[in-house]
Amino acid sequence: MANVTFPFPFPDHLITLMPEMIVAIMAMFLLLFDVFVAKGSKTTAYLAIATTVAAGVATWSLQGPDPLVAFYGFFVFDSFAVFSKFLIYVATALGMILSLEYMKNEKHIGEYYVLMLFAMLGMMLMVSSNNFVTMYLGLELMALCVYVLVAYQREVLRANEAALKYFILGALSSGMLLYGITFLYGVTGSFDFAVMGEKLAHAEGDATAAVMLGMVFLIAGLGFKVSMAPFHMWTPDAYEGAPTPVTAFMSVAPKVAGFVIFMRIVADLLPALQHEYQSILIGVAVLTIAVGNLAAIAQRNIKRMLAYSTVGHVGFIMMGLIAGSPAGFSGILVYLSIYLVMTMGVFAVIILMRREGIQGELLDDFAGLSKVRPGYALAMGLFMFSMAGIPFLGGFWAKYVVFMAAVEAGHLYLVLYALLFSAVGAFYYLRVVKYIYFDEERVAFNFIESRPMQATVFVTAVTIVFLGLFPDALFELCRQALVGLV
Amino acid sequence: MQETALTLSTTELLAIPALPLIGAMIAGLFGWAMKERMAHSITSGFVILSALLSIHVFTQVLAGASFHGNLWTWMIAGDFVVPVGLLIDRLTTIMMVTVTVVSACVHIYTIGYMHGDPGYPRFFAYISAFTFSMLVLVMGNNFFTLFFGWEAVGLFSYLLIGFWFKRESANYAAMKAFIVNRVGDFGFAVGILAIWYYYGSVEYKTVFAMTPDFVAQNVTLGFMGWEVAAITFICLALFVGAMGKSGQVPLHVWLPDSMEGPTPISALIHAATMVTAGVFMVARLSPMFEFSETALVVVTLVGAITAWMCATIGLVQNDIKRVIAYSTCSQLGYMFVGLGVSAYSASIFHLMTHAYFKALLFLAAGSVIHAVMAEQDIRKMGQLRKYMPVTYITMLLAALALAGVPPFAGFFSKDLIIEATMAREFTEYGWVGSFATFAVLTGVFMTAFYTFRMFFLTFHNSDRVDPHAKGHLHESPKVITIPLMILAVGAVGSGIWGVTVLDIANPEVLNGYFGDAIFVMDAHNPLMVMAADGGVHGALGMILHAPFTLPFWLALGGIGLAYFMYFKQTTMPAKIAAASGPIYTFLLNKWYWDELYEKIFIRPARSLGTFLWQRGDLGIIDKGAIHKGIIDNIVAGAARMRAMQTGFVYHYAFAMVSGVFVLLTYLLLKA
Amino acid sequence: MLETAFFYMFGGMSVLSGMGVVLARNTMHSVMFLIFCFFNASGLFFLLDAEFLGIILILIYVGAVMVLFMFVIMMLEVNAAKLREGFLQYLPLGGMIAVVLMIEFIAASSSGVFAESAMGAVTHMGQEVNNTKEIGQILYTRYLLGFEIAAIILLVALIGAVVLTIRERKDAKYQNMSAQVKVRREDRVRKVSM
Repeated sequence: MANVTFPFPFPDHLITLMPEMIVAIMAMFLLLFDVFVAKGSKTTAYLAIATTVAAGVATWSLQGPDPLVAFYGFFVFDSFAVFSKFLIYVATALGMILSLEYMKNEKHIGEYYVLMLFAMLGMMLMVSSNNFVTMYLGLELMALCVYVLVAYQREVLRANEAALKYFILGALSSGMLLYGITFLYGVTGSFDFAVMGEKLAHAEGDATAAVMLGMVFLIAGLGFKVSMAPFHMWTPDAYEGAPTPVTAFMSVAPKVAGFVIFMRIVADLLPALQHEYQSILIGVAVLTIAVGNLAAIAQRNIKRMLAYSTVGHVGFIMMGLIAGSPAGFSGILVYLSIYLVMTMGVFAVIILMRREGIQGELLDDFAGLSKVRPGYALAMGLFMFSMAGIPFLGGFWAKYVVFMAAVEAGHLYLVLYALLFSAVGAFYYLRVVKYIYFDEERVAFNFIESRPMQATVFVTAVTIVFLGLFPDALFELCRQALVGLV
Repeated sequence: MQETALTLSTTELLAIPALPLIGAMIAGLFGWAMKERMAHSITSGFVILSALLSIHVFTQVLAGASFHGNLWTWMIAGDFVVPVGLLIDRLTTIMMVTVTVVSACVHIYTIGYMHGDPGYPRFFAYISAFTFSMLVLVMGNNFFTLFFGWEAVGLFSYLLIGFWFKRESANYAAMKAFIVNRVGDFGFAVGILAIWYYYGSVEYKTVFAMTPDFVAQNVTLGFMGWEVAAITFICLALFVGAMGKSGQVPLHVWLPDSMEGPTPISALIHAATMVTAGVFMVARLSPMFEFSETALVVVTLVGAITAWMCATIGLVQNDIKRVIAYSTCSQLGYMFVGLGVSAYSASIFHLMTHAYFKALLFLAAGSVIHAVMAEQDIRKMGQLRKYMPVTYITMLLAALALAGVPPFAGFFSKDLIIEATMAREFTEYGWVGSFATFAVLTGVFMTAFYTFRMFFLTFHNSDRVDPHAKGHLHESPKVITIPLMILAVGAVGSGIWGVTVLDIANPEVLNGYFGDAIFVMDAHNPLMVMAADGGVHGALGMILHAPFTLPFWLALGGIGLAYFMYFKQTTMPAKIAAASGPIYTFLLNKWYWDELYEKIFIRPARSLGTFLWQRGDLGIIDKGAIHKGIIDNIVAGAARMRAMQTGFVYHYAFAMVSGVFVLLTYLLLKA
Repeated sequence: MLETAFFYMFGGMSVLSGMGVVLARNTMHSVMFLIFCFFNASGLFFLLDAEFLGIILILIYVGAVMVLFMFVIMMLEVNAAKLREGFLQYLPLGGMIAVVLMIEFIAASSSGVFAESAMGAVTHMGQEVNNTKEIGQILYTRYLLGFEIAAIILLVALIGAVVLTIRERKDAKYQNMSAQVKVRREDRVRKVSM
């Protein structure tokens, strides 16, 4: 860490944080602006979406060959952060687009988009952090926003309940995380990942117990955010209770941020403890994969099913972490990108299912869709096949890259195990297809059409097919993004 | 790109799979806007064109041309390169011709069969797309295109079995097919993964070239405590995939159920092409299988069990399509026996003849079903020959071919397999060879019996047609009978043609017609053994020699018994059934495979899911605390709910703390 | 020596009062225990010459947060006995895990990494060092980014609290300023032709 200097080199720092500044300022501006717009106006929403685009442009214009560091090493702007930021922008923007119609009838909708922007800001800070201070604060900023977003429909009882549960358990996980960080700080005397990693590599025998304790609590705290079993139990409740666009948002963006942090920690902080963290991550992955894929089978509510499906995907993504190699890391980025597209597409279709008197969240509500709206049916079928990992759709490559990385790292049995469960997982994805294509319509479809939603479904479906056929470019991008990290 | 004396046009080769794909896309995407006529003209036209091109390529290859090369690179991931390329040799072309010709016949047949169905264009789109996938499967030059085709044909098979999605049973059958195939695909994927892991390449040529060295290095891997030669592991894993796709015991259960699909599908996918993908794959990979005696023994054993067991089941089935379906399983078993005893060329030969006569049997059965108003029970048919002479004659030809009566097609190919089985001796597991010989010989008798049982019950015997359907009895229209006639030519002539023109059976040419497309170790080559025994040459020779062989009399015996039981003593079958009580029930219930799976896989899987749901979700979360919490909250107010909520968060938190506890304790104990 | 004695006193008291928070049957008692716990923690800060942190802890936690807490608890009727239902049922397993975890914590903390030799002795800065100024200086320079993010977190907490609690009651009458300002003549007066 650089020494504190006076006068403060303000402009340089602020330019490096340009995207964050834009988002923060726009969020606060929209908070005030929303007071003056008419009820039911979508101006705030559009401005919020525009903000994500602006942040994207700012990020793009800032990126260069060398990583930038600001605020005495508390903030990094490297190609890894750039890539993950773009994933977060896309996830947030899509989450907002999905909300346009869904949240239309809510009161005080302005704050909803403001909170989404703040959550995005938190995640942007997370992925740009190479130390525990920025990481923890970014994480809390994100978490706080998401708690509120889950509870946004106050009159819905299950939303309240879900949010409360999520909040309490989130507080517990934050406590665990902080406790772990404390121990690691105690051993190393630093918050900076790289410095800590250096110290840990030279730590003496005595330190083992303290380091292990810190590491386990760290993994538990972060594992909560990305839904690793057994820290996943909030996931189905929160997913089911939250408004569907929020579910879409929180099933993608925080996972991206969480895994990015995980990768930074694995790459910088824990290389000396490779053996230890691998052994516990393997245990967690085995449990996560089994829980996610098995419990999903018994679900009738598609949001709950997707919650468990997310847990399953997290288990697969973890294989990239366990591999711990550049191939594994780029595999995680590939997986996250493809997972983002699939998930957003699926939730867009689910939101379209909402109709007069029906939430559209039960599997039964999908029965016979293919006859009424073959387009939506086809898209949903594609997403389901892709999630099941059927070649040659995007989801197949996602699994493929992380599995290959794990095989190369010598975890053949783990991959076999994961393959087996991905076959089990195919069952419940396929069941959705069965409802759509082979069942009779039970409740009349009475769609509330909306252009942005249709566009989302279309674009995500095309992307999934395209990535399935030409995954090369994405692979290359993800490899590039790792330059400097590993 | 390496080319030999005669060049094949890349454009022409690419056009063969591309044409059905284009047809499928047009019919699939714009089907809603099309008249029936338009949809079938486009798809059928393209497939017929593709068939003609295949035949053209076939003649060129026969004249000595071949093609091997990568056309473009699909993907590069590090040192892992996935090329898209073609390998066109004698093995490939014979498959191409079979696939496209049968597909073309089925396309034409479908015009009549599916007439008026609401999903008409969709159906054509599916079968064209299926044809494309199958062509990719056979034409590719690496394991990746093989895998692509493999998965794609599975997908279209699933969609087509469930084509009549309003039928509950069709849905169920489609799911069953897909899931059973996933089990097979798991093995297949593991096999391909292992190949890439050990060889670092997925191209056939490279892998084949490396195999002898690889085997010489004696690479082994520990698997579940066993030390297995890597090559054996790879071959067996791939063979598990073949078992799933080709309906071999114990993964055969989906194939008879797949008959829920429309009949043209049964003919195209579940008789002639897709199910033979496993056979093709093993033959294609003969340079690997040859090096693993264990794998060959397993292939033989599985094939023999299937051939025999499915034949016994076929004896008592009453559904016309199910009889043929079990016959398909059984005949696929024959092909695998042929592969296992290293008579690859004989197996592929049988694959080809089987494709023609079995497709013909199915299409003729479909014609019958069409005539008797969708009745499939042969006990409710009889005397149909008077009404449908064309169907009658073509079906008779197909039945003779299946039973293996000379000079029909099935005779030649089946005879070759049987002789090879008798000639081959395994060094270590001698009993497998003996068992296979027993299975294929008794199988011949049973095949002849059940085929003619079905045939006589359908076309002869007493008239048991439902009076209601009687008025509709008529010969099918031309679009249905013409494909029957085309296929009948194949069912009669493809055997003789294969023996004389292709010289497949000639033991003096090492691998017969296939040349270097198939690799057989000299020590294994049963054709060479047969040659040493003074094998018989030429079609005429084989026919003349037939009366001196056992299979010939077994086949005639089977037909004779069927004739006796269903022509002369028509009361006898019921008596025999009654007398053999439990055995009959056992066979009628298909050896209780479905029930077995229900017990050992499906129920435990379901109960595990239910357990996690009931106990894990409902028990702890919903019923235990949350659910009760919600309802009581509405009833009794917020205070109580808060109290309950604390209870369940407690559980979540407890799980988290326990997780930390387990991980931490583990690490500290280890350190 | 005296300092060590005070350290163990404050430390022991905070542990005991922490247990009191969990074990007390009456919720109010739990809150009081928590306040006592904060006082002890504050005492520990004072021992380290960190008087600013010590005072802040009392001012903010005891003075503001806990008072708010008490209000909330007094307004809600919480049946503590209900909350403790099933306590005994979970005790064996839960207690076992707790005991083992505690042993592990102690093992980790006492492994010597936090010993003086490893971390360096705590030195008293003396009276000339201004704690408040030092913290202010480092907070506005080196830790500026974290400080600003913390500010945003507080803003979000504020927004969240408002969003989740605002209620528009149907039976209450509101004055809508913006509607009043925007109103036009046509809305209020209608010309009627007689």
